[in-house]
Amino acid sequence: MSVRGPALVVAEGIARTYREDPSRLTRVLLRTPPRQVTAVAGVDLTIGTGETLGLVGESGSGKTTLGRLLVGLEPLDAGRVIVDGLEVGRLRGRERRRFRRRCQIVFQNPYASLNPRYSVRQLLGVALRLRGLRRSEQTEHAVRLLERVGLSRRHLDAYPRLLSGGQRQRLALARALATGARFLVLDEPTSALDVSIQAQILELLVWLRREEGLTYLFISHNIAVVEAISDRVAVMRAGRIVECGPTDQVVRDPQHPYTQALLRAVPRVPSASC
Amino acid sequence: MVGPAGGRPVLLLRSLSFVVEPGEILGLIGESGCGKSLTLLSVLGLLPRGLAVQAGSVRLDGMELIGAPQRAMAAIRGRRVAIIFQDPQNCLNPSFTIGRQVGEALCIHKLARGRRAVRDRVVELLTEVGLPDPEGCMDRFPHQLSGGMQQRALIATALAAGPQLLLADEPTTALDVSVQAQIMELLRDVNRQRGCSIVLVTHDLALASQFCDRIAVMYAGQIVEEGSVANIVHRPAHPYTQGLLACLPMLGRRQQLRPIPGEIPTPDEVLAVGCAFAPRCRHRLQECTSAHIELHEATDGHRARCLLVRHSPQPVGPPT
Repeated sequence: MSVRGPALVVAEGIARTYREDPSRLTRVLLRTPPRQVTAVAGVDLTIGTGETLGLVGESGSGKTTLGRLLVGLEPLDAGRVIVDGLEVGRLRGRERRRFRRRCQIVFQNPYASLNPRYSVRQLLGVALRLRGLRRSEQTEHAVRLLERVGLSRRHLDAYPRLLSGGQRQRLALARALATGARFLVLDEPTSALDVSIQAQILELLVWLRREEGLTYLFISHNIAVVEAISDRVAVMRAGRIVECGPTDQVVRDPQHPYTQALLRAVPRVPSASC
Repeated sequence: MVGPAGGRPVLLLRSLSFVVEPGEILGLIGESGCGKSLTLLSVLGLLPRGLAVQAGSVRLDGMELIGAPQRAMAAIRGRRVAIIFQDPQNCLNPSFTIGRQVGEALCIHKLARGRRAVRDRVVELLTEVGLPDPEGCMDRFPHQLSGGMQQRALIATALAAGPQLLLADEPTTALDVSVQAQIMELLRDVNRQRGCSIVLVTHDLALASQFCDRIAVMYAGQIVEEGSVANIVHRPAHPYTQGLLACLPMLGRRQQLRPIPGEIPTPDEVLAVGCAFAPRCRHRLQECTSAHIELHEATDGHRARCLLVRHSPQPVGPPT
């Protein structure tokens, strides 16, 4: 499979299983063995530097868990992940902090992912401190970040509740960039937004990728959105990637029956002949 | 017109009119906060506390619903006009079985008497909405069903009393795309077989264009454009509709998305006169912010609340 540029992210045979651990009482009363759910069941994945890989699948297919595994937010049960030459999970101390700065994740719900008690200045300050910037340098840097994502100096002392959904997602992006991240996992970043705002955020993502040389894993249940932004698409079902290829090829000529069914279900605007 | 009953007057819906023909599927499209759901709730007289219809009328088959006595409305709700909501999980009572909740609608409207008769009718309804193993579903609790099955059960409840009009408020937004396709197919069958009119509220223009006969596009509490699906999708006259189409990711058409600049106005930001979309509009004229703007007829049955339509006999083409 063609990968643009040298690989930045490599995942080999990664897996993650969750064990539902019922309380002792239920265990005794119902005599049920703990249930296991395999969220990610052996996934191989490569993302090239500067590339956007789209990850689609229905709810419960393991998209989010896969994204979290790639940035080290979940322990791996099997396999390994290497981002920019660093092996996730093996890192300790300084190396681990370096890795955390390199990879960031932007979550779906900008209402839940920003601490409501922190002002914009503080939210960005936390990330900028990680990068070792002194307090005196932080304001100037924060303003520069805000301007990059289409906000401005006047938002510095605002609290998240005063921002609209689109502005919050811009702020979440600024915070991800504040650490100097090169690889971003975007977990349904536009699903909570209206279409007109979604298009603004997608445009911003494309622009930022070019300007900053970023690499994205773009997770979405909406294959039309993924198509609009990705170079390649991976289709996930029940913890496995069932099809992966260049976006045009997957959308025009899907090989796996599941991809075909998924594409058929997407509502389309009727053609002009009607 | 809907706004708070007292206090500072903020109009949430303004001079909003539409007609639903018998057997028709009308799509009500708009982004969040444009008043889609409020429109449905005001039809049913279910506006949240503090809001009231300040002017205007809602007629069902010629009968006035605004200001109708509570008892009359109770006889209409569910019986002649039913509604289904976005999130089936929150609409079903977790502590009662599906059978009991679907049956309740029958009992309230006295459409079946006796446990046996109610049970038989509920099984019929659950079969009609395509639930596998309807007998078994009767005795199951909502949490034992998937989201798609819950929505089917809710549709069965809505259909129980044989309404003429079904209001569907984002019925598939909480569901996966493959389940969405199944639910929309079910709603289309209901429309065809029962001849029941449907108002589909959605933010998804592609979904509406596939499913509806006519579409009305809402922005900031007003209908800004209405017409047949073909007119709205291929010959949009209002700049907002054009903008929506240009920023909608559509499969297999790897077009560049063109976002609409700016943000959706909150109700108190909307100007009292003039076009609510004017601040974001590329074609804005001077009088757009000063004149009262009516719905202008572009072609037969295709109307847009835009001065450009009045100025040019031909509707403005989609942006190049």
